[in-house]
Amino acid sequence: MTAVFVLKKPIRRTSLFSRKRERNLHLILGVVIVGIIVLMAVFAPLLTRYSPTAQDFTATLQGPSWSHLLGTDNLGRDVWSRVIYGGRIDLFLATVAVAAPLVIGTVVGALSGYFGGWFDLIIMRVADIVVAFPFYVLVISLVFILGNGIGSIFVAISIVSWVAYARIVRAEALVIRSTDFMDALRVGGIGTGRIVFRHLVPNIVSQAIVYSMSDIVGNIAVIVTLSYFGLGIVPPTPDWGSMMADGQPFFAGGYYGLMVMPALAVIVTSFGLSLIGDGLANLLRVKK
Amino acid sequence: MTGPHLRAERISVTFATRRRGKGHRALNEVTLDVGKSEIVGLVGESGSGKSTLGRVIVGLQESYTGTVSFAGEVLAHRRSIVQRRAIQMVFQDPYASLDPQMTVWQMLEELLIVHKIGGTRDARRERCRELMRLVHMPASLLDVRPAGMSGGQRQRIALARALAVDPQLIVADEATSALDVSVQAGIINLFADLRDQTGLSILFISHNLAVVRSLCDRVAVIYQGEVVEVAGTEAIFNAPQHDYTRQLLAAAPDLP
Amino acid sequence: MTEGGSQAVDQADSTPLLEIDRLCVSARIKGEQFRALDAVSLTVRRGEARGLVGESGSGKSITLRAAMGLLPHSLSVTSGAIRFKGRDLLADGGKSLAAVRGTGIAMVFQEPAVALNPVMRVGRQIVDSVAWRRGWSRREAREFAVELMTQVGIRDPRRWADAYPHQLSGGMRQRVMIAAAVACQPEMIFCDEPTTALDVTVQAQILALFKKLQQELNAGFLYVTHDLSVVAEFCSTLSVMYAGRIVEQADDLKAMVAEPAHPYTRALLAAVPRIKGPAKRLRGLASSAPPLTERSQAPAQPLAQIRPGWQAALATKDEIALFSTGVEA
Repeated sequence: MTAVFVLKKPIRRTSLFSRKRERNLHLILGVVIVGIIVLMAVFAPLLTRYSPTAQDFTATLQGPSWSHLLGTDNLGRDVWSRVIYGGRIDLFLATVAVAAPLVIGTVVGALSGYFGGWFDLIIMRVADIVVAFPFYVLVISLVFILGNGIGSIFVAISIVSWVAYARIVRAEALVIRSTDFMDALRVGGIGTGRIVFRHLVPNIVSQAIVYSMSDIVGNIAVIVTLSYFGLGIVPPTPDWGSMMADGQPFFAGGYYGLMVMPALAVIVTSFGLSLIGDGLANLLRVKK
Repeated sequence: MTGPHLRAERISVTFATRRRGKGHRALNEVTLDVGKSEIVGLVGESGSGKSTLGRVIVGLQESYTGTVSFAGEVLAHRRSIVQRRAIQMVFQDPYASLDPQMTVWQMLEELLIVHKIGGTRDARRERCRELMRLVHMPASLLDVRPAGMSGGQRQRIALARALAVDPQLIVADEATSALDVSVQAGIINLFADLRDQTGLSILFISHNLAVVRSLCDRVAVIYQGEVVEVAGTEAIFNAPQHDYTRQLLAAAPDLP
Repeated sequence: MTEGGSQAVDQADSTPLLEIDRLCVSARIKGEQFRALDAVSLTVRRGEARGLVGESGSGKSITLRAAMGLLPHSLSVTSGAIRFKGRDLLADGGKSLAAVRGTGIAMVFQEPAVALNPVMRVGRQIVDSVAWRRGWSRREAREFAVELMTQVGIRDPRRWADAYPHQLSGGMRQRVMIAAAVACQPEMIFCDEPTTALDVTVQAQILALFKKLQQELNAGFLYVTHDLSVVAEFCSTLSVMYAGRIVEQADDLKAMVAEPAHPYTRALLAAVPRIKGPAKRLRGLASSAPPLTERSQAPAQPLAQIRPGWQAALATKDEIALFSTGVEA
């Protein structure tokens, strides 16, 4: 019964502006990096006067200069603009593509964990089947079936990604299901639906949200990989993956920027998001 | 007294085990009554089935044979919301029995709404203030989450929650076992006062004989799924009839 | 329950076996230091069983762990001494402690399920350290294990010596822990809530075992628990702690329980339910001890002597009010 030392937690809640933040370097650094990138993506028109698709055959394959910050590509398009506008698409799509799996996975996982029995059995086997296929094979097949375009990527990722969320949430639900306060709700006559959605889910959703940060990173990788192969996002829409594919033939010729710049963009963005994920995990762990 | 308030009659519960064939018989044809305005102690060691019986009575254990009736009406195995009002529960672990996400007010109001008690928000708020008064807690804690509260405070909140729907019987499952002794005394007195002032009945499940003696009017001793002796408190403690009861009393530590 | 208590203190050896002298431990919380233990002093003589009683946050477990060198990283001893047979255990950076741990002083924990190695057979765990130290063969070690298991009351020891901890009941696991503790014939046994997780009937058996061992080994016991009734059954001397300090202690447990001097002891006793005697309405306290961060940081006053062998802290006006309100509900 007795703990070795009893530390009562203070009633005040930890907010992002509390002292705890001072030590959460991960979160701060991550937010700064991603914040900058997001701002750049949002204010893209203000940051460059060139359209990302405007071709200029008089100024092809130029190095960095005052007029073209990062130079131009083989069609005379300004690399800096393409990177920023590409970020718009990729970041937007990666973030939005997390939403559906998060919601579906959380609901399915919560119900699965709470009810158990046949429902749980079937859902988990479906999840196993989905996960048994190599991820990219599945996504590429789906994109082929559904045709190219942003919508297809969205659907393809949703069909495959919900599983991780469902498993995380289900594990938490299994733990919480047998605690006393769940029993107390049943004794009080609270209906099952309300128990699951008003009480169970809010207490377990934090893990799913932390995971969603790394999922966004994963989504960026998927989107960029697909567009590298010419699937998903179609030209002329600028995007990091197709930029890398386009720039690849010129790498040997010494025009590194065409391929390196978008790659750097992917790396820095992913890094920032991972930091946020870590920082959130720290924050939530401390709060518990 | 017109008849037992609560009657649990020939309750048997069997839990399935991994081994094929026989399951584990947690309760074996147990019969127990609790009268109006009475505190009945249910004493046993681990594995005796006392918690299982409590869960059957309160409607958490839906698979059992036998009947549970309250005020003459047989309660369904799957309790309806109206049937749930009469019997409520206070749990052992004060740190696990409250939803960490909700304030006390939200917790209580939800119950009042679900059971249609108090038509307006103000009426419900007033009822909550009254509940806090009943358990001797300041109304200012209504808008606080359980996170900063001590074990004793949490148990009082848990008790307020149990009282919110105006039950006639409360099952207290080791409700004071996780508390410091000095805090436990306050909760025990609170139970006794509620019985005296509101006519509440309590089924007090515990392994602690001394606590049971100081609180309960009657005591039932349970061993390996069977009630071996039921009698008034003084009779049990001064003239135990069953061997097991005598064994328990001999083993129990006591201050000089 | 039979008459409590070990041999009366005046029959035991008069040189203290264990002496905790003004021990201070501080805790590091969010960069600041807070007092966890304040000038804790107590003695245990050979053959004496001293109960160290307190509620949660009182510091009783910290005291025990400091004496064994098992404090977690966030806690550290800031001053004071812990002397075993006259030698300060803390003075030489843990060397003396390491030498004495498991040989001179043994410890029995609360949760045998956690303190035993789940993948090692029980018989081997009991004698491992002793057999290694004395260079015994496997057969000799096993014989010794069986002998110890018989001594602690495990029936059919040959069969159970080859069992794993999960195959044993809670009571048997605790007996195994006790066997391991007495394997090296310790002179001092520290107990941290050893019977709290056990059923009442099993607890009685373990307490009887403790009494038997105390007589056979003439060992000193420091028995930490929150349960005053258990202490009254087994111990003969008593120290009561509150919020990191000793508030009262006496070499005559019965006298102290009959007429406590400090208001907290009085409040504690008024809150403990009894089995014998007339049923009285219990009196409780409004709240538990304040957490570490909210306690007064002023150093503790030395205890005042009431009688030889009986000291109590002087209670401030606030404390008297706090402990005497006799909160009814």
